[in-house]
Amino acid sequence: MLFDCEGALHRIDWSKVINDLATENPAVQTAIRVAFSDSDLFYNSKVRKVLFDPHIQSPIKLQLENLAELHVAVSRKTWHANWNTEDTPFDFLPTDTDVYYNHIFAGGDEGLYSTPRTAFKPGGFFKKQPFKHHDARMMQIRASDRFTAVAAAAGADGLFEFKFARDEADVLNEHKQLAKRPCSACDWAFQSVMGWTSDSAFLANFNQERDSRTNRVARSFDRLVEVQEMFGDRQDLKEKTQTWGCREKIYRISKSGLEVSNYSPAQLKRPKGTKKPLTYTFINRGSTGPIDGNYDFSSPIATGTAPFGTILEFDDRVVVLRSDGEIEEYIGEPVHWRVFPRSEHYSNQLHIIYDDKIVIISFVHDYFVDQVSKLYGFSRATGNVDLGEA
Amino acid sequence: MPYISHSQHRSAAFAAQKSQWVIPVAEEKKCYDIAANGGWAHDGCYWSLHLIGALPAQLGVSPIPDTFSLHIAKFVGEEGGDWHGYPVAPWLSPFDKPNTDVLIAWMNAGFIGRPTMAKIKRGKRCVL
Repeated sequence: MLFDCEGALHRIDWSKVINDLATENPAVQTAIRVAFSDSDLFYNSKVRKVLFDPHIQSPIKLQLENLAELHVAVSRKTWHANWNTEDTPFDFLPTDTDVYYNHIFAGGDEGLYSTPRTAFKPGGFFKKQPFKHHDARMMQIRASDRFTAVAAAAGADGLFEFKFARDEADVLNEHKQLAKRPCSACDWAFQSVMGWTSDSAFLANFNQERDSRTNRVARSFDRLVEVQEMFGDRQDLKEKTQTWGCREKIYRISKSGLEVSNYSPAQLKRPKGTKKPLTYTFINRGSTGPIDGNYDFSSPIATGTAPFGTILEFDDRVVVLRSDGEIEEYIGEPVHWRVFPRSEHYSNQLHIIYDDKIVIISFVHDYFVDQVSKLYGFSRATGNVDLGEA
Repeated sequence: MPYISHSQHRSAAFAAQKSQWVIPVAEEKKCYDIAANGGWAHDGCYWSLHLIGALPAQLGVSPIPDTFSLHIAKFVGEEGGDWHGYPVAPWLSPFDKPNTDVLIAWMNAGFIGRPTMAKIKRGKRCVL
């Protein structure tokens, strides 16, 4: 979905476009589907057992390599057949959006709004009367992948969390201000929420507790954790840094390089022989040193984290620090970019909008990277791996 | 509407707390006039640029120690009262920035491009 400045919402039937493309290019059809519409397939633990069969892995890797070299053009007629335009349900151009449980959430200077998807296509894909949830100027919205909640960075008004109540008319009818300090971006770290600006960051740490009567798990707010604690600083750093995070990964960048810290939230389970469950921990995994390249990477304009790596936006380029250690640079001043870490279908994609085009990049290297030891990008490990998952 | 240049935004004593103008008072007033005449207003405030030709130029710096180069000014005042303004950094709290209508007006006039408009709107650091 794309919002334009003239008040239109463009919806592209991407799965149909990709399916048609795969059918027309049988020699690389699996690669096309994995790269552009089935991102989670190769993260599935059962599929990975098949994928890492040497007799299977080689032809799959060959298809992916061949796809990377392939030039494919799709006709304008095909695009038009799969491109629908309708009026935006919002009377403002959103600063950020997220789709969650068939609702589209839009935040901006006007506040936080949402509207559900409709069942009737002639009326458009979204109901035209959005619901207003909050007045604060919203700069970023992030829905949780494991708790039915939406976090919102509200600039000078701080960081908010909204509980999602799918059966209510006001689906975000309960909210809590997690922090009153400035917050221009946010993301989820398991049951906790990371918030940051260009010169500060914090973690709104939550614990999980099991109700002994109902056996249901509930989150409870613990406290705000500062960056010094996340990285085990023994004294204040003199140089300027920027910090951000997602899931188990917390990053801090400066002229000295990129530091990585692993966050493990408080665990529900008690280790044998102990009375108390494990509290949260941070493990500083060290610094990479200055990042190679003829460019000053120390002061990005914006940052993000996906399974395939860590994204840094600069004035004239977008840089991806890949999970396999490689660095990709996309030269050109972007209008906007985003990743889709919660998506079943597009978690391996980076979308960059330029003034005259949109570029959709699929990263397929991460399927073959060790998920526990990688530094860039959050882990997609499954099974009994301690990544802080309760 | 009377315009008065606010001394705190031209004072080393306040440089650590307030943004500072780097253009003369006459140019500061010119920014205000351009905004008022152009209708670059939202929610009771005017927003403006220091234009040299058709290009925005630096008009201020952010508070010490960062002293980022600033290109956007905000003007506040009361109906029938005095107006004053100051340079703003949309990426720093309180994330002062013009609304979409003003940004689109600047973009349509060729003063800023779409990437810059998007950065300002999203509160990202940018140099015009």
